[in-house]
Amino acid sequence: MTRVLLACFPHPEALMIAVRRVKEEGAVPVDAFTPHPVDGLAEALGAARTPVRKWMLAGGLLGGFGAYFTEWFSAVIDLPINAGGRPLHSWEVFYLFPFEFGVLMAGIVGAAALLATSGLPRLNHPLFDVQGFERSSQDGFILAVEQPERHPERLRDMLLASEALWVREGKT
Amino acid sequence: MSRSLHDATRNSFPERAERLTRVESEAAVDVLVTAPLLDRRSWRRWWIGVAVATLLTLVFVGAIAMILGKGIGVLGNNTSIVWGYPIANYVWWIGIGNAGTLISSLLLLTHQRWRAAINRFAEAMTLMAVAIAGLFPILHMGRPEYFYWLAPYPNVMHLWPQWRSALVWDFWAILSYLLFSIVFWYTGLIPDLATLRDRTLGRAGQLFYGALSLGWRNSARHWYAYEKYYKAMAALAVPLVCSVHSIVGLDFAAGMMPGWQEPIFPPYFVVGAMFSGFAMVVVLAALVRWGLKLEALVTMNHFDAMAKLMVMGATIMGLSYAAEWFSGWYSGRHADHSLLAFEFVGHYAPMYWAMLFCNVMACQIFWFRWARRNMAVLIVVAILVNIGMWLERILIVWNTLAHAYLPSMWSLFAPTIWDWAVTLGSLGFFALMYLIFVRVFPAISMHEVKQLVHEEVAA
Amino acid sequence: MSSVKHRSGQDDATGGIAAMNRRQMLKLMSAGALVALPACTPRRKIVPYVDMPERLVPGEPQVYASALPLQGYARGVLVTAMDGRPIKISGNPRHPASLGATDLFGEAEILSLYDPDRARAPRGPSPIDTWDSFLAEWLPRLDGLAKRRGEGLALLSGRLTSPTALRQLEELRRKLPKLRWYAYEPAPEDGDPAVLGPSASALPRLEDADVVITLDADPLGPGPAQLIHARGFARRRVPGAGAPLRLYAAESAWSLTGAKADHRLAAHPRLLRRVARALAARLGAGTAQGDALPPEAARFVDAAVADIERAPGRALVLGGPALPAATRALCHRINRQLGAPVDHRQLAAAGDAPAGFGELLDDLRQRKVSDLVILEANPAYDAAPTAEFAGLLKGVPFSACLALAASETSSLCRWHLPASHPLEEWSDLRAVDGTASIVQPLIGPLYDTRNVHRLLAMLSGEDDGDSRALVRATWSASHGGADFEGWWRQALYLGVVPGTSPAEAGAESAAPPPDGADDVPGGLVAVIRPDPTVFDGRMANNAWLQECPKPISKEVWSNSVGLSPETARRHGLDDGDVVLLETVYGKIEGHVSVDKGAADEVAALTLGYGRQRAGAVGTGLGYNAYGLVAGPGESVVAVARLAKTGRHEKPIILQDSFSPESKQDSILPLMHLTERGKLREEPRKVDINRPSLLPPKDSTDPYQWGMVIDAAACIGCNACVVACQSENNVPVVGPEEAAAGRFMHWLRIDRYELDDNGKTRQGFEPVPCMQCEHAPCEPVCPVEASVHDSEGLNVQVYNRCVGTRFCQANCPYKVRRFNWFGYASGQEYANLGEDPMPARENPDVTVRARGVMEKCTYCVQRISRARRDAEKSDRPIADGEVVTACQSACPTRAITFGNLKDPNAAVSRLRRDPRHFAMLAELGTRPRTTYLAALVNPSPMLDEEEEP
Repeated sequence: MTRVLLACFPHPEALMIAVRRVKEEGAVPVDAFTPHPVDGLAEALGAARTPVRKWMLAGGLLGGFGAYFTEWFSAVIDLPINAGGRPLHSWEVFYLFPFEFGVLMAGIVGAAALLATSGLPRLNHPLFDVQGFERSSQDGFILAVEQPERHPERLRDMLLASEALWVREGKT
Repeated sequence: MSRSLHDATRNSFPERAERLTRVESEAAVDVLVTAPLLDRRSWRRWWIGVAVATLLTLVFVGAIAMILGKGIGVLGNNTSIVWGYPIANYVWWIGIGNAGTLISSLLLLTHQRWRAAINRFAEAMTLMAVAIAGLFPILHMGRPEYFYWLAPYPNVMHLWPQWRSALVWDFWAILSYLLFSIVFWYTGLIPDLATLRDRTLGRAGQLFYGALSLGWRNSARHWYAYEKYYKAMAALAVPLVCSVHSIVGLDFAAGMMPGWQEPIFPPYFVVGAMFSGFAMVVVLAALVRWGLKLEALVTMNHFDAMAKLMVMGATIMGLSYAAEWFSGWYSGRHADHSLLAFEFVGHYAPMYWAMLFCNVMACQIFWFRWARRNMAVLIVVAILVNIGMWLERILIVWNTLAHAYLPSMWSLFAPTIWDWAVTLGSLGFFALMYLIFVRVFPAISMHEVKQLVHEEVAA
Repeated sequence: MSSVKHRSGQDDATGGIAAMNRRQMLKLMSAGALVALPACTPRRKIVPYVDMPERLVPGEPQVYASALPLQGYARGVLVTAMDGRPIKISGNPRHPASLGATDLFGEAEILSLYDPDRARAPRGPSPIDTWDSFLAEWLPRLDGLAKRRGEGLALLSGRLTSPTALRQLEELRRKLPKLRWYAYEPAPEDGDPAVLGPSASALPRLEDADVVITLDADPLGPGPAQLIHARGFARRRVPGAGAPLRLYAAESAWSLTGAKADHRLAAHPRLLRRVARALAARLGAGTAQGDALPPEAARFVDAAVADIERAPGRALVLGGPALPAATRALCHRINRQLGAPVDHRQLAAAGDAPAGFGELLDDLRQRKVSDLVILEANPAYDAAPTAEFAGLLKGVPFSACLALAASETSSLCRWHLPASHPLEEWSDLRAVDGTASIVQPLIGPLYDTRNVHRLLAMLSGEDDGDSRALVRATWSASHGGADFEGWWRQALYLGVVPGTSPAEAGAESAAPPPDGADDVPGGLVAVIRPDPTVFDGRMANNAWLQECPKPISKEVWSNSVGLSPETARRHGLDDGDVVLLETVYGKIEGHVSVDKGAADEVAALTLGYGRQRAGAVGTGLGYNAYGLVAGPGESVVAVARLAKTGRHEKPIILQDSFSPESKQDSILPLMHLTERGKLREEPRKVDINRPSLLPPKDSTDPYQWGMVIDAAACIGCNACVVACQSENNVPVVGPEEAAAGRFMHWLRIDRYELDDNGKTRQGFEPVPCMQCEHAPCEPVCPVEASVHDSEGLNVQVYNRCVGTRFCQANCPYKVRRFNWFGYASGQEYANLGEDPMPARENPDVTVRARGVMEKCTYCVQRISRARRDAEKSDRPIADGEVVTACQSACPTRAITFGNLKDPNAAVSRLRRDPRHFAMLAELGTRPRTTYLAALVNPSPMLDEEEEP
């Protein structure tokens, strides 16, 4: 649990400037909370990493090949029947189900990975206790900076000087 | 407060051609979009809509009860024309269900920013349309209680599905598409649910939206993963949606009946689905915009763009029909020639000509700018397209099965009251679900529009 | 044994049928204990099942020879019983009027046996009646009659050929000499009692003829001699068997003979008469010079005469009931002149001759009848003038009617006496050629019923208990002696009594009746024929017959008024218009069906419909044409008025389109025969095994089943359709469902109007499942309900089917049938689901549920039985050992089934025939059911003239 200073900015440009200044000041911007994605923000915060797409690829491949294996095993090994004289291993049409199933698995695994890597679902969070944090889902661009051991008020002043509407303390 | 802000936004930002929206701030977006959900006043239109939709839904439920209780025989199918309204309805609804995903994914991938104002309710349309579409193949079965036999599962008969059957592909296509769309739609909705959570004043609403938003905090890290995920989903959705309707096309094209066995069918079904879906989106956009007072967000520029897509779709449809006729003629097979003649001058010829008019000719009016920006023209043409596409689907079933290889088994289809009940009733069910949707969920993707507004204002 | 004692054994006649069935079954099991002498076990001995009767194995079918009547004449049958229940009827190869085949009426008798509408107990004047109360009323009357030596007693029957019935009648007459016996057959017949004498028969031998000219006669049409004629016809149409038969038909409305004719002349009855006279004149049999004929008819006569003159002694001229008696006599004279192959026989002693129906009417009018007993006839429905008869019947003090079910007549009689079905009691019958057969019961009476013999015994005041004893009494008189039992057993085993066909009598030269020019009315006439599927209406309550499509029109569940396009146009009528048709005798209302085969100024009507009291199935369908004519057997009557009613009634037709368009070569090719019976043209090269990307599937199984159907032999008689229905538990859908375009027949007969160089010819093509090797239905089934077995059958797994119907949608031949409702499982039409109907189901075939697809599987249950039998004795299944139901029924042997892997099998030989083709072969489905092309044998004279 990190104690942070939360600064709310009226627009993303102000937030981005604040991030740069915070880093110049030697403080650590932990996270930012914005109503919509802001280009470059995650990179500026050093948080531009996610394994979600790798999970999706894995889920999709597993689903697809698993489905194909199911088809092949059932049609060739387990229940070889003559259907209209077609070959048992009718690969020409066996790719369809694996494709559909693979995409479905990629989507489901992706959604699960998104939630899991984001630590969701988590219905409550200490940040929600901070008054005004709800603006982050509407029109407030909130930056969370790790509260420095020394001179926290310098950081606060700096943030206020960077167009912050308010600065409050919180935990994250 | 909402009323004044709404008026303010409308009055203070005159339409500019290069602007898609007419709001100036993120806050204004929230106010506009959440007003219908949080403000309980002035819902008369909604209640009237719900009443009508509920009535039709009861018709739908009654027809389903009849079909399940008395048997599929209450429909008008006969020994030769074994498929009928449920199949046409299925193809029609799944076509409608195509546009939402295409709008949200294809347009996203191609950076068509205007999609932001319409993608949410288009996706909702997809979801509901696909859900209804999924009902029809089950309803059309002789023993609907065993529909799950199409899935591979350990069973006492020691049997597996027949993977060569287009219906198994179909089963998985619908199922995958429906589940995928739910996931796609829901994850897209989470940030907006968080917004609603934070704007709702009542405890119940806070709990409801709070739970649904899964604790979303708009963190930059979340947004980063979210955007990666969302774009990947969009990239998957495009081939998925194309494959779904291709497989619907294969339901026919994998057969060997004249008029069905045509390689053009899969792409032509995809285009047709997009086409009918866009037409439905136009109708819904007009209704949502009017009903939820979102003129500032869904502007004539959006309609203009969709009308352009429709005229493109209509032209491709016309080419597809021509290709169909050509391959029928070029096949040199008597059955195909005979079927072509039957289409143009046979018993269903009036419907066929009507279909050609609705699907190919009607949209050509959108070459004119005034027509693309005239709401009445837009709605009439869009409804014509939807009727035309339904005619196309029923005629694909009827013409071929009525006029297949052996003249001795040529036949005609006589729809019963239950055919109509289940068809019109499904529209009512769709309307009911949709009305509930716009009352419970934000009809417009707020976070995306906010981003758009921000960029537009900054520009 | 007294009748009282017998009844005590059936104390619950009005009670639950289940109890009856069990008892009947056990009785039969006791009978079955000695298969070779099934009759020798005392009938009423009940065998406890713990002592399993020898040779009665549950689930093993038992087959007995018997005979069934049609218009009084026998067709020999073999009846299959399963666990005591008769379930299937097939032909008896030893019987001369069956030759191993059946007609649709014979096949359908199974359904009549279990008809829930059958009368179960006598109905008389009091609320509850029994046979005892009938006897209580009858015996005192019999005493009174005996005093009057039978004065006032009248017996009315249909044609009686049963030697036992005739013996009983003779005995009754000896007792009551003044009793009068009247007999009539309601429907017009090809036979000529009026010309030849009442019991003389003239049976043409088609197989010995090179040329056959029919003038309204319909030897290939339904009737007691159909099976004989059809076989004779088919034998002479096979290429390579010498000069082929050439068939000329002149008729006023479609008949099966006309449909198969090489030359057909649609002619008004008046013109028919002139054609007959012209033929007689040209062939030197006529007294007068022939009339001048219209050009088309003249060419027809020219060609026919040319052919006849080339074939002396091998030509036949057959007159039908639309010709006046004098003209029919003329036809006989022509045949005599030609030395035609006709068998003349005298079937019974002349003294036995009954009076006709007209005489009964006279006697009724003069109130000479005090006691009228009607033996399985229904004059209030089928004997004109029906209304007058009904009125007169009410005036008869005592009337009783023996009938299977309540009928128009029985309801007017004081007593309705329930009749036993022919499969329930012993009797005997003669075939059209006079051959007698013993009618063996397969089951004890289901209800408290009597047959004719027992009723006649009762009427004469004797013990009525045992029809078997009555029949044996007849035959022991003539075949008595020490070894009667052996003789009897042999007769039962064979199904025919050897040596009972009377010797050829030679043609009688009775003086021809006067020939008046006005014998045939001019102008618009109604020509009335028995219906091709419900015949004379006796079996109108049989749902199989009602739902069987008429061979030409494909109409079901009704009859229609057939008018030629020209006549319809002149009267401003179109298909489905309901018209009022009035003659001096009566009127009907029926819907018009425009019939390209009807002659101008002819209203083609059929009998058998318009039943008022047939039962839950047959009541209220169509119109009753019996009331339009002067009396029973009349065929032609002048129409006084034909008026539109303004109402419209869509006929229920199961085939909408009859033209193969330009696909004829791939659907049903037509080929020509030469004078020497060779094919005139090069056969089309058919490659069934078209190149395919699919890997070949060479089954190692020793059996690969296949079927070849000869379209040239098929006469469209529908016997196979009903046989399939009976064998495979194919349900009936009912008129409402049929009107919606639904039907369940696994085997249908397509009719096509084939193009023969601009001339239209009828082609019949039975279409069962093609059992394609590359079956389009199989890969589209999502749940593997439609699969191929190792012997090449395309089988349907009913309990796996979920009813997507993709298989039928994708079937080019449309041979699959879907249970839109539970046609056989809870949603049966009318009373078809009621007891005892389920007892007729073949236990070897699943009864399909609602929502399930079903189809022909080459009678897989028969294949399976043959395989088990063969495996038991460790031998391969022989060629011809598996006979499908349709094949077994076919009177022309058009259907051949067998193992394609055996190059010497009949089916393999036919597949090498130059006429062999596969329907829609170009689709690459590789059907196992294939065909031989249709054939015509046109006269060069007419052929050349018609070419432009």
